[in-house]
Amino acid sequence: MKKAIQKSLAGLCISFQLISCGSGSGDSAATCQETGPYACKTGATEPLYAYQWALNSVKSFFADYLLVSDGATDLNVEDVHSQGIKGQGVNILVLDDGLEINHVDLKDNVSRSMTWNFETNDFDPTPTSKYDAHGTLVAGIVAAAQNGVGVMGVAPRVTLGGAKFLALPEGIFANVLEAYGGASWSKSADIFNASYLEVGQTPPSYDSTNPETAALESFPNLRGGKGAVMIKAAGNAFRDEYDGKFNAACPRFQKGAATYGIVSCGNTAFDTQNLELPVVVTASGNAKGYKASYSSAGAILWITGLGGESRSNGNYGESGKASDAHGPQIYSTDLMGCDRGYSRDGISSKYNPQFVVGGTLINKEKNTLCNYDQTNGTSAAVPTVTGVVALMLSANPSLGWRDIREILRRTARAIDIDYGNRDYRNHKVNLILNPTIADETSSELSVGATSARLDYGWQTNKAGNKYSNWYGFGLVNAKAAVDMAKSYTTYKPTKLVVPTWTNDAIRAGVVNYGQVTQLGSFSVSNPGAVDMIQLDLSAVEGGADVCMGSVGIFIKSPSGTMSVLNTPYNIYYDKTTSLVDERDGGKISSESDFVLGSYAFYGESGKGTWTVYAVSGTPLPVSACASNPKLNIGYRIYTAE
Amino acid sequence: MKKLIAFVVTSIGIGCSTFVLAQTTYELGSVMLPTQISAFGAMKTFTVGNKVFRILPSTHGDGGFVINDHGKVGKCQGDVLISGVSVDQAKKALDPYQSKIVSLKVYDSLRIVSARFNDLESAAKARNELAESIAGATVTLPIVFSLPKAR
Repeated sequence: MKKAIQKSLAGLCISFQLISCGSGSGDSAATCQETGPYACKTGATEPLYAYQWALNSVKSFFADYLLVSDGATDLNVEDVHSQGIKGQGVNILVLDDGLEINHVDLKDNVSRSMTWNFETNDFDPTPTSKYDAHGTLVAGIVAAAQNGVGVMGVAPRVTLGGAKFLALPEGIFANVLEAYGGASWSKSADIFNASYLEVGQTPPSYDSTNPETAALESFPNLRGGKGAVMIKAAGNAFRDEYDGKFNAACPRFQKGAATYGIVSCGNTAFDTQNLELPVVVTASGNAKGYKASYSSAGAILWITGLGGESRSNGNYGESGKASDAHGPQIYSTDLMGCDRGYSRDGISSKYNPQFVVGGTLINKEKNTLCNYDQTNGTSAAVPTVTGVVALMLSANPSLGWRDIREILRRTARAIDIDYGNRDYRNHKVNLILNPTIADETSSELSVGATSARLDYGWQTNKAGNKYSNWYGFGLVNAKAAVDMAKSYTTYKPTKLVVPTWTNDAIRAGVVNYGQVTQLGSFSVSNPGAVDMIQLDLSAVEGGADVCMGSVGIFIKSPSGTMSVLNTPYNIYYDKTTSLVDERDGGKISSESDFVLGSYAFYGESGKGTWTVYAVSGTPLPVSACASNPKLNIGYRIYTAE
Repeated sequence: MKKLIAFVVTSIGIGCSTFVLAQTTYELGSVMLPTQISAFGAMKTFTVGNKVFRILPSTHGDGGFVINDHGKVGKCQGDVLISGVSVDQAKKALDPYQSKIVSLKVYDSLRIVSARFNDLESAAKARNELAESIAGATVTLPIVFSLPKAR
């Protein structure tokens, strides 16, 4: 229906050129504040715009390929561009594997006062390796210029900075404080684009040795005290995690002869940076309006951007079907030349669309110099959200870091609303070896039961806020966000009050592998509205380690809302494909501070009794997990200002 | 087999600790086996909060590698960070440690003061004392166990 309406509107646009629908002619002559040849024009001025479905799906090349695109899902950004709001006055810093600062489609927006290279210790972040094209791709998604060449970014008039921060030679460690706003070249950033993740082989500890905590908790000091935000990747480990050394697969759940991936292998909370409030953790959606097949889930997701699908084939990515993880990706800038970057001579057309394969007919016609490419991942979704935030700040530079989060949250769109009932996610699973899907569909969590539902889909909490472990608060909505930014007057305090931990609120909660156990409960007298709740888990001193690869952690709020902070059978459960096979089941000890969090209770009162459950699968024998280990659990609650 | 230490040479006598020290490199984030750890003999330790870290012998002149209670390898450069209070307050709090501090950096935009100590034990001791003595401050001793990767 939505698609039909948009198609009709597109038809109207073609028939009546006086009605601007982002055709590039501009409809805001009377109100347009932008000047120059592209004033208030959409990206239709750029030759590759038809492939940038995330900017205008209905008129994109992919709209007619219904197996990979719904012809409707995009950022809803054209109206903003038509108003001439394109990121003017906003500074974005892309921390990545480098940035080709002389790229034909980026150089007009690059500020040389906002660049750095941690490998060479100079101001040129242009990568030397032909494979380090990630940062240039990410930068183009948010900041490619509107210049009649190539592609256009979500915020094409933003000021762009970048650093060679990732993929550094062994032994070189980037100074996180300098990268995160402490250096002359980083301190003026309004938005930090972090299309990366830290993935460890064992559950991380969140404590006073975390390298990034101090910097991220100090983000509210940036922007003259209004505070900066970091838009950060959720991760691409829904099904598995491969990085060359640490290759982890997760069990699939059997129903009849088929198996299903019920839970996310990776959890967004496994990167401790994502637990910091100024970090906007971003999931990835595809052109069909669903979660991308790879996008990691978790209860600390804030928003969803658009990052395309895993496998892209055909001429431009139009082949296959989304249900097989096929579909278009995000078109952007690549390292220039057919001997460098992701688009180059000699790459396989089996795994890439013709557009990026150097020397093919399509490549010669549309991408002759291999200056452009397409990419996927939460890496690609992050800059789409970064771009939207830049548009918001361009429309209202007074927004503080909390206001940015708030507007993103309030304007986000709930998509794929019924996913919790799809592919047996509404069924309970058996918490025993060779996990199977039960027939029972109840979402009731029964203490002592050997089955439980692991995914609750979209939920509406008692404050009326919709939340999903797949999508956070939903898909970003550029027009609604900018409209709200323009009319925004109730600015939130920018000071970040970090709550103290209440340690051992639950002492020695017993984990019974293979069943549901109530670990304990704690009472909170603070009547404030909840922003995020965090739990700090450790094994009891002198007791056995707890195998968190098998232990799901669920928590019920005083209002009765349930949130899944960690699922059993996660990335730490079984690393049988690992080249560096630890196979310890994700053990945490009494010295661990394994911290999980949830935004699912946003806006609810925190006052009352919270109940914590362990929903535990059965560890592999090789993990040597002791039976009935005990957990101590502390908590802290950030309140919504 | 893998585990954290990549032994560069094929034959290493466990008893030849000097040889081991000279010929090993450490892989960040990897987990050492107990047998690998015991080959180093007695190691210096330091405590941060309730956590005990063991300092690995330096190799190739590159020190600062540590392991946690699970044998996981991290890198600590001995920087104590103070945030959450004014820069002046943080600097003043570091005065008693001047003899152990080799460099001091002030990140004004973030309001963070970073002091690099001449050894990890001194840094940890200072971190623990400062965390108790500066009300409202966050005091950290960063240890890197994993590096960010494009995702």
